Amino acid sequence: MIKKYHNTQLLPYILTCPTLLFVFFFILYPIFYTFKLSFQNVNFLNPGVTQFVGFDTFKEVLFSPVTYTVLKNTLIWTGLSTFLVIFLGIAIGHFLSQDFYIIKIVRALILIPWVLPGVVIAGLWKWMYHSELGVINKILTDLYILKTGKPWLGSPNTVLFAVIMVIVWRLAPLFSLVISAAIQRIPYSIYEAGEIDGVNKWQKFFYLTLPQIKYPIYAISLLVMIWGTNNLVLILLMTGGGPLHFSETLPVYLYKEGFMYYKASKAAAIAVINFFMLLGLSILYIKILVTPQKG
Amino acid sequence: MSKSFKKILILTEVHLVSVIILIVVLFPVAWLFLTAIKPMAEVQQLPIRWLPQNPTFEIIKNTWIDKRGYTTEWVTYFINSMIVTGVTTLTTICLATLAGYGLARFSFSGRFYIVILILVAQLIWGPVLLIPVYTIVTHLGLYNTLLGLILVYITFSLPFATWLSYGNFSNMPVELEEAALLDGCSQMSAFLRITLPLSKINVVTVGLITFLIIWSEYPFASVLLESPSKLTVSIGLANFITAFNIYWNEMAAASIIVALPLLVLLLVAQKYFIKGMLAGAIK
Repeated sequence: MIKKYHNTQLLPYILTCPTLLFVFFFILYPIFYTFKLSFQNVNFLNPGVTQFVGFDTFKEVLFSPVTYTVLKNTLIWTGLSTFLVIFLGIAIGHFLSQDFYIIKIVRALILIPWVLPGVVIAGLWKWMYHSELGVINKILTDLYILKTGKPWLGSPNTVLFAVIMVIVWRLAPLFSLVISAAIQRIPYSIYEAGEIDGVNKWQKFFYLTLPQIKYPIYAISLLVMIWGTNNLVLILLMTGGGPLHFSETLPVYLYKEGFMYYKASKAAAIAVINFFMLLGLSILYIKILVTPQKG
Repeated sequence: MSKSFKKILILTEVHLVSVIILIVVLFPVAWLFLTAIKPMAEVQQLPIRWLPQNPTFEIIKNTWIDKRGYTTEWVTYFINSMIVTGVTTLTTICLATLAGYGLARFSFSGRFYIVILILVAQLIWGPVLLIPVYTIVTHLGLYNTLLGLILVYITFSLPFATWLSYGNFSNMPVELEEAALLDGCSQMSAFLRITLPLSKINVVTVGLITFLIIWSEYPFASVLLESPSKLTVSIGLANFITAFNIYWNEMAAASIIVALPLLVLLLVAQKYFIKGMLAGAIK
């Protein structure tokens, strides 16, 4: 029998101890603290006053119409960006899995949007979306797609979709690269069997390729959902959640309540809602991706 | 349809699609550079011109050195970011390698729960923790210090770094180490002399991804730092973006400073990035 592990009892605890200390002190304790704070009425401007108020803060959050706008925005932002990233990721990834010289060049350059800092991306796209001076309006009017430019980030109808395009631009290339690597790892024998059976191009993709890249697609979907739910910098810097609350998602709402209006407890209650969303996605992630590998 | 005609058709299609992808991916980056070399008058000129008429590198230069010849606040931001990112990356590499090794090589009670805890910590870390982390760092007296930010960043990067190095050590054969143990090596020296040198590439990957994520982190830096001498590049840039009057060409010039280290890293170490990402997403 091959022995996989060493038999030392103390050493592994010593090795993992520093990491666990950081996790306990700056992740687990803060989560506990957030829960505690959400049952109080703390204001950062007046931190001395701490009162236990039960579910009052939660009631304030849950009965506020802003919260519903924010939750709706979060769902659209996360759902639509995940769908587009996966769709484009599979389409482009399938394309990139071919063996041509120019595709090697594309693969080399396609990671640039992901490597660029979020702050840079936010500034750059805010500039490109500018209603008069922005290059996006110029391109669309030059191509006769639009007659006159639109205030993409200033109009309630377009703002959310405009910021979704930015996160898709950032993440779809990365995931197309992951998908193309997964497709390239599919053993050729599977396709040979298909050729004998005479499958066409679409059958080949749907019945042979797609089932083979199932797990990377699950992993990516969940990661994009989690990253999307957690993304603060793009929306905060491009629109600040505005106009009004039309592009505000949970993290932006939380940030504004906590650090612009100093309502610590209200922000904590929003964080608790956000936390449960993330926990749900994390449990799905573990169920789908970690547990099957054990069995 | 003849075979060679079909081949040409496929080649045309591949090149056409490739060019479209490249334009969509690269045009915004090119536009950033073009904006940075335009004088303000041209930036505000209508109709918009694709290429600058009087290209100038003055704006990029002035981001670093002002007109009187003094260095600007951007030099301070850059140094601060380098310190914070450098210390975080080195600490993360050390701690994550040890923890990943401990989790991958030893069977001990609680191991499975620690692995899950680290995975969940990696997924949950984000704006949810802004409020409590701000409060804790303030209580520790570390508000507006680089040390406070560094501690937070180490916690931010440790879970995924540990997860990456755990995956790496799990895939390495244990036999080599056992040979060393039989020869009288201690457990730790077997790790340091045999296993660690063999996993150089993975250590580099962990370091690069940590650097990439920490270099431009914005939300926590914006909450934990205050005085101009302590700010990092991401806050400097965010102040440009959210200003009432935005000088777009100056913003673009500053963006180039912020993006440059990462673009250089991508250029020299592309395969590590891809390897690291694949390890995270495909298992």
